[in-house]
Amino acid sequence: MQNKRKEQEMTIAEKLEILTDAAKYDVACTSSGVDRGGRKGKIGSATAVGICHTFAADGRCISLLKVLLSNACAYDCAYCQNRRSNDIRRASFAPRELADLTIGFYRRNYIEGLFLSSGVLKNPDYTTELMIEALRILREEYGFLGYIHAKAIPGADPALTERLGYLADRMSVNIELPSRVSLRLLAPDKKADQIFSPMEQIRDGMEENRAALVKYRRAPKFVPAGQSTQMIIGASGETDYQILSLSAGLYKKYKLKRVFFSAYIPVVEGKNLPSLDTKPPLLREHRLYQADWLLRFYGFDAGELLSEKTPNFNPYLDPKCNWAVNHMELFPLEINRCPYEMLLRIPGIGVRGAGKIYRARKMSALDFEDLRRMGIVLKRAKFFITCKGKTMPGVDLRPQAVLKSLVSGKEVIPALAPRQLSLFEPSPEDLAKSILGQL
Amino acid sequence: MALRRDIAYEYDGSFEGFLCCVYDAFYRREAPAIFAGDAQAFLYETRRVASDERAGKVLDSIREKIGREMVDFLRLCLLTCLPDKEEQMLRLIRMGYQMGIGVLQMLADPCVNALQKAVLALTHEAHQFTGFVRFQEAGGALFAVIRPKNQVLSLMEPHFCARFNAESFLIYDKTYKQALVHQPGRTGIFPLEHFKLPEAGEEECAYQQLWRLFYQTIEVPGRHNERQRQTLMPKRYWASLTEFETPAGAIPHQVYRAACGSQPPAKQKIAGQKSD
Repeated sequence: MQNKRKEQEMTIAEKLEILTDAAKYDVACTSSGVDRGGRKGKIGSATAVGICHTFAADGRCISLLKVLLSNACAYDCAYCQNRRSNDIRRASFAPRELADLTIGFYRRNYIEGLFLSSGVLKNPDYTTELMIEALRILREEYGFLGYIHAKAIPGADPALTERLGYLADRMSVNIELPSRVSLRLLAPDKKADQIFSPMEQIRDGMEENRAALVKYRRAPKFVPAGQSTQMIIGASGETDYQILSLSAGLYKKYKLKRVFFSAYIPVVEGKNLPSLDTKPPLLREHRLYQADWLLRFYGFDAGELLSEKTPNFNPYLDPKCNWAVNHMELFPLEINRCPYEMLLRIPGIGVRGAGKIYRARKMSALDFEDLRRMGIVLKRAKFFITCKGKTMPGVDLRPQAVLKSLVSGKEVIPALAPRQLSLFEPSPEDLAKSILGQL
Repeated sequence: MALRRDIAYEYDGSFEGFLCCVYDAFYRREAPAIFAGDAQAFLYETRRVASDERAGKVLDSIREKIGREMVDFLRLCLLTCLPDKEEQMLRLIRMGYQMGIGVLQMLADPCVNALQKAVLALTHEAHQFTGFVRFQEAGGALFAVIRPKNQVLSLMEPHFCARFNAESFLIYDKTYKQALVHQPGRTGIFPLEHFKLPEAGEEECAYQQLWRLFYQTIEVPGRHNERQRQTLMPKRYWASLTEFETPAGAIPHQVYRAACGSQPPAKQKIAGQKSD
């Protein structure tokens, strides 16, 4: 009771501080996936590419006002700082307070919209009802057409989740941990089925909605920007292969727009958890994102990057380089002739670069100087390509030299490297040798 | 016949004016240096090119013989901050008459390349500013000042006018001394010599404080990464961002010091991480 009175006396600033602090470990801050022009007399719009409004000191994009509705959580998940048994300040926004704050920020162009998540206040249904009320005020009373990302609360009544889905642009359900075993161990209040059933519901809802939109152009849209999820990396013992297979499966089965990874940052102590001084496995997270991109935009399969035999990514080489040095029989590729799909597989050439080459080579045959002028970075690519039948002059193609230059970049910054590497800083030569040994 | 090169044109800086320069350059067989505004004491003979009906003829010809896309591209080129954009554009047009619209894809050509890069920088900057503009409210209207490299206002106009169509707002471009002014149902870009942001009221200050609080709280300290922040949001944007301002009389907040102060905190942090 005393706690409750305290909550009511809190200023907006205090609430904002507590509830932002509680939400900041959520990874997604994207505002992409839906195009919606402004409408006369209403406020707001959304663009499919998304807009970053600023960048935090950790380098992450800030696009949405990312807060919890409440951090007074009834659950006791071991890895979470908002767990019931943790002694921290608790706060909850009233739906209208949150709506006013969102509009105030939005009008000043601080944000692209709202990212609303919440701890479980009393029970999932009650929490969802409060979230619905906040979004209803925004959409119906203020005529807000900006971006809204809402978290589905596992265990809530499907009818409530559906209502939330008609108010939001994107929804997400966090699967939290990459396997059922870890979930049971670290989040005993959350059941895997409770997580997957709203995911299924959202997927099915989107499919039905698509059919309805074909019939009635003005039918209300259900989660138009799709759904996403996130999982914590490094709090439990899964391999990269398991994680990547899981995410590939999620994309396929639940038609997800994104799977986010979040390097585990210890915020609480627990007997089943890594100790508090553990560094977040940022490099591992980075590798998983690189691989995620390869799956989504570069036409790679999870099985091509990792296997049961080599279940983890190479800390020294990015996944694409790693794949390429293992498939040297496919290279070098002639830049003026090889198909677009293979251009995408050259280390150092991305989707934009491949597109540029593809368009420019129709007009005239390209040589290395042309590539450089077009802004293609040859640092890694030069080992894998020919221009007009010739390799780049002065390039040393012996495996030792190739590897040495592939790993010598800033990829392995000491501060980012996983722990086992930080004892001694190996020289690029040593690295090349040790990788050669692995191949 | 070789083109005469030792001559300069002056025009008014408008797209129509530029098209008239193109007309003259073709008919007089010249490859001039082209100046928007005053060529001042340039070495070569200088001719003033007026904007008149020749612009329409050139426009029709380019549209018909090269393509509509080329016209759109040229319009964008003229908004960039590329120093010799007019000369490059003239070169591009000559190439376009020979090769057709495909010329825009000749990324290996130095002229096409320079212009494509400049246009990319322009559209990118305009996109960045859709996020980095910060409005201040005064008397129900919204005001913002930006200092872009390229002339981005006309590219930002559709975005902001759609988003805040029921608001009245003004975005002042300090570099080119222009203002985008919008009132419900009316929009325009006007030259404006001076503009000063109105004094922030109580509510405005409160929102600015809340925003700074949010900005400072959202960082995950274990992932501090100064370099990435600066790559994604170069410092030239910071001056007009509310999150880096300190209100008058207030003690500069730690984060503000960290962001703009004399000692770079990023290095210290990394060094700290290494040692433990």
